[in-house]
Amino acid sequence: MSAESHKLELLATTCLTGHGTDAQKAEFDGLWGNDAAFRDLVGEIEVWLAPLGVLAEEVTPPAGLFDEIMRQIDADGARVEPPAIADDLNVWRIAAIVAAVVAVVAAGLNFVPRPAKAVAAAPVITTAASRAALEPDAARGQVAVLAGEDAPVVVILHDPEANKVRATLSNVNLPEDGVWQLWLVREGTEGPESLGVFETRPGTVGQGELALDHDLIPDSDRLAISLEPAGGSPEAGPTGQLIFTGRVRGL
Amino acid sequence: MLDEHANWRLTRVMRRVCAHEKAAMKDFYEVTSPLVFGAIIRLVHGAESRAEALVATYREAWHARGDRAGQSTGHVEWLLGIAHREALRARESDTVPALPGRIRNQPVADSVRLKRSAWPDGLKRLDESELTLIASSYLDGRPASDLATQLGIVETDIPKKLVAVVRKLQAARG
Repeated sequence: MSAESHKLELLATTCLTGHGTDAQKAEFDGLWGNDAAFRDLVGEIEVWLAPLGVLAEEVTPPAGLFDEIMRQIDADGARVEPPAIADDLNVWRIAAIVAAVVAVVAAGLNFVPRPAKAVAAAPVITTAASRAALEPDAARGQVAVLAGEDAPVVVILHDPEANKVRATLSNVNLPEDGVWQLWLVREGTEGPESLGVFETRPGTVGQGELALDHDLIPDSDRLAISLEPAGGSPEAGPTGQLIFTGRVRGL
Repeated sequence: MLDEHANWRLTRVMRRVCAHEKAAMKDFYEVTSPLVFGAIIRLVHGAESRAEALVATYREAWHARGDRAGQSTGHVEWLLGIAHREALRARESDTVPALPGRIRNQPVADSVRLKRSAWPDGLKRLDESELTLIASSYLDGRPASDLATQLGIVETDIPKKLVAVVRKLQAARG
């Protein structure tokens, strides 16, 4: 262990055990805010210290605090976008991936953008005029970038006209010993709702597809993918690991 | 810590929390809050500050839930880590001082000592002075001067001794 890492370990331990001076606490807070390696170190030490929890007896908190917790969480949600895995990734990298995938899908569909539209992504998924007249918002396509740990990313494109959801994978493949199941997470509902199981899109590599008869609400709904046994989750909700999550955005 | 059934329940609840399901927070809170509050009240003594630390813990847990996505173990340790940090913060503004006599007798309560066989391996490996040092510091926030007097050591040696104890706990986890 280097002198520097020992110093950081000493600082983290001293502060976490309540013995930090004001100067040490200020240094701790500064590193916590700016140094991911230091945050990892603190997280590790907290895990090592966690067994001490057996020495504290369980005590039921006063009534009413849960309502206060949810009130504050709701208030936070009204002010800022809740952080999720996807939000931790580099925004520009995601934007680049979305743009690249949109371009690839557009090329695959032989789509020629209308000159009047300056935004390249908007016309990728064409819509039926009749449906657009009835449900203009629902007829537009939607995209969700679902991020997992490390670098894997799945870009979900919803084509409401074809009732299809297509998943384009980056740095990850569809599993061989199970299936990916897509879940809709909607505010105010009981729990995640299954949207179906991805199947490999014929004639493609790194793409999955499932039929979807469901409208998605951009900027509100979230999608998640779990790894499930063949045939999908045997229960109403996911039973396997949630490996990707992300928010639905309108195109 | 949680028993086997509560751990199983927590793992399932965390999946729902990580899927951004706010309704799951109620189950999450029911399973974990006695443990979290039990840890908080050892460090924080004013009722208002205790409530503040508890609310801040779950608020932070909700916002940081993405850290737990895809993980099936370690949720309790993660949550207690947040609770500990929030308790230390709340203690800064706590207007109710600790009662020295009560704290001095509290580090390892008799009722907990009796459960020693159920302790995690890491704790069993600590000798009495190491256990007193870490539990009194981490759980109760006893000042270094107080601990140094009780243990008969120099106050400035306490941080180094704490690091050594933490490394023992680390080694026990593999």
